[in-house]
Amino acid sequence: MTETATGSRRYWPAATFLLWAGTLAWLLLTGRYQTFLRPGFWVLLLWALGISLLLGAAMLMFKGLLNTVSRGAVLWVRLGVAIVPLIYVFAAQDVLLRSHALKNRFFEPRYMERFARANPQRVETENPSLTLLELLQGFQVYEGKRITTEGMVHRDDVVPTGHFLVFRFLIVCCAADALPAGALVSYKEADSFEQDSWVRVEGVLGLKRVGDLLFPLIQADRITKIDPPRDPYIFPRMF
Amino acid sequence: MKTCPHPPCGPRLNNLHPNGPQGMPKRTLVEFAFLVLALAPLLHFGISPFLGTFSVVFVAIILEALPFLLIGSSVSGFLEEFVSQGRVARLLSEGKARTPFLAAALGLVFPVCECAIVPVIRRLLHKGMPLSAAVAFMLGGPIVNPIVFGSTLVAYGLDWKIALIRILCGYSIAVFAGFLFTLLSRRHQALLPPLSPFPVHEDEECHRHEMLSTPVKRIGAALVHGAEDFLDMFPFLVMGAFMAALFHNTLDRSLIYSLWDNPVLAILLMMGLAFLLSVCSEADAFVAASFQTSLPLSAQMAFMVFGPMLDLKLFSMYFAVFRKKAVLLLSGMTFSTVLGVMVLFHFLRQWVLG
Repeated sequence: MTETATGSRRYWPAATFLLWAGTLAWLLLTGRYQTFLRPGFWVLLLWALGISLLLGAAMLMFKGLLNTVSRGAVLWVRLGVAIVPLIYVFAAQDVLLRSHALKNRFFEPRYMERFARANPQRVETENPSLTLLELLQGFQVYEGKRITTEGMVHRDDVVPTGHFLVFRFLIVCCAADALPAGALVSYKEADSFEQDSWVRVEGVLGLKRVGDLLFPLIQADRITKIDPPRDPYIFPRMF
Repeated sequence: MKTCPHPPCGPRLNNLHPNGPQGMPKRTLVEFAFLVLALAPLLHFGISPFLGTFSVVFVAIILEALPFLLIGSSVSGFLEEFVSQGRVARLLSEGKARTPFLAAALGLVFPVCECAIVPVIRRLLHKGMPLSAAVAFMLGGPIVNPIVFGSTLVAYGLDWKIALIRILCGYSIAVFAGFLFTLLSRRHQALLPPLSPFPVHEDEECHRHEMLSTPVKRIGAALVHGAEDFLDMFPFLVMGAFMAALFHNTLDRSLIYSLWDNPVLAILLMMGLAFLLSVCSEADAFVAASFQTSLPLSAQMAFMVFGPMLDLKLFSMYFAVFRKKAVLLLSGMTFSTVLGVMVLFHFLRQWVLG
């Protein structure tokens, strides 16, 4: 085996590990990993970063031990596949799950209501500011009361005229398990809000039947456009 | 030529199988086609709403699985360097009936998700782990696991019965599949051959033994094995995750809504959904629980039991361990066993509840 062949089998795979380590460091330092994962997962990414560095360094330091790493076209194609996700990391760094993701995901308001029976949260203040998850979890507590919540605007064929759906995604582990939490909003100028824009909604909480489903409904008297929050997703507590 | 005083090395994993070191392996052609398919949309379409959502989900699946695959590959490297074939054979003997029962419960002491288990299984198989034990651990490990028990508990509002049923179903199916796979397939027919892809010169081999004379160098060797394993397995994960992300964005999940009256169809569809979505076993209970009011418990259970055993990314990764026929046999066997158990569970539950 020539020194060049050994070198390519050694340096390029090691470089791939180091490239991954660098990207993980960048995701952790900028907090951008939260576009994809829940915040607590930084520990796992730190592990991945450490192991990537170790494996990359081992490939550089122990060249005589490389036995099964491929070479030639096989090596290049395999390393190419290994860096495809990195290209997508940078392509998707500022992208959030929006209305497009909502379309294919299951929206089942009754699932959220079930939480209310299990774990009602009583808030004594007037017009409490709630996340959409808190609103759905405590639906029976807040029904008929004035509340404030924030989320993105969604409108489609199912949503009645003069209404929109205010929603956010709940993420347990990663964006692949994202589930929408939302409520219908009734407002006289509902159509003036752009799809996917962020709004703060104030109004009285009730229920509305749309087809076979009962949706929480906010009879809004005030809606304000807001900037996207620092944490656009809701991360429910796991344990 | 000087004779090497060290004992000969054991078999090494061959990452060029099934075609061996000569010529372009079929796998490389598949990987090349994937590479073109994966990069073309970025070059030609920019980030459209579809591609944006797709990218987020694709990267999310990879980032979630990556730490576990790296841990699994490193463990595999250390197993290669520090655990002898004889020790594996002593711990898990082929002939003993208890082996799959023990192996299916190994997740209790090695609580990681499915992505970490596959590289470990591959290494253990080549160290002499019995097929029945390997299949039982591979299918049971991601479910019979304290972290998965905890997440199921939380997703179902601390209903311990559901978490327990999940664990028991996963365990019994894994043990059954372990025995069945051994009956239906021979070891040499199932596994990819453990050959070294490049001819290693005797001097080079001896040099390698001398290099491993200190503990630090043995740790280095373990890490190199781990790195090689990772590089071999990772493309399978990437391709599986890519397909899963594609289905995430094209499959309308509301189609499954209102299947309460047809439990068999509901179970089948939820198994299909689990396969296509490839959600990690530590998070899938939350997705299953979102169907609580629209689907019977058996269908939710089918999602939580089948997904950690066989999903798109795992199906892809199994090709790094088994031959094509064995992967198809394992998949068909897992599918039919889970379906049978879940249909039985549904009707038993109905009968018990009256």
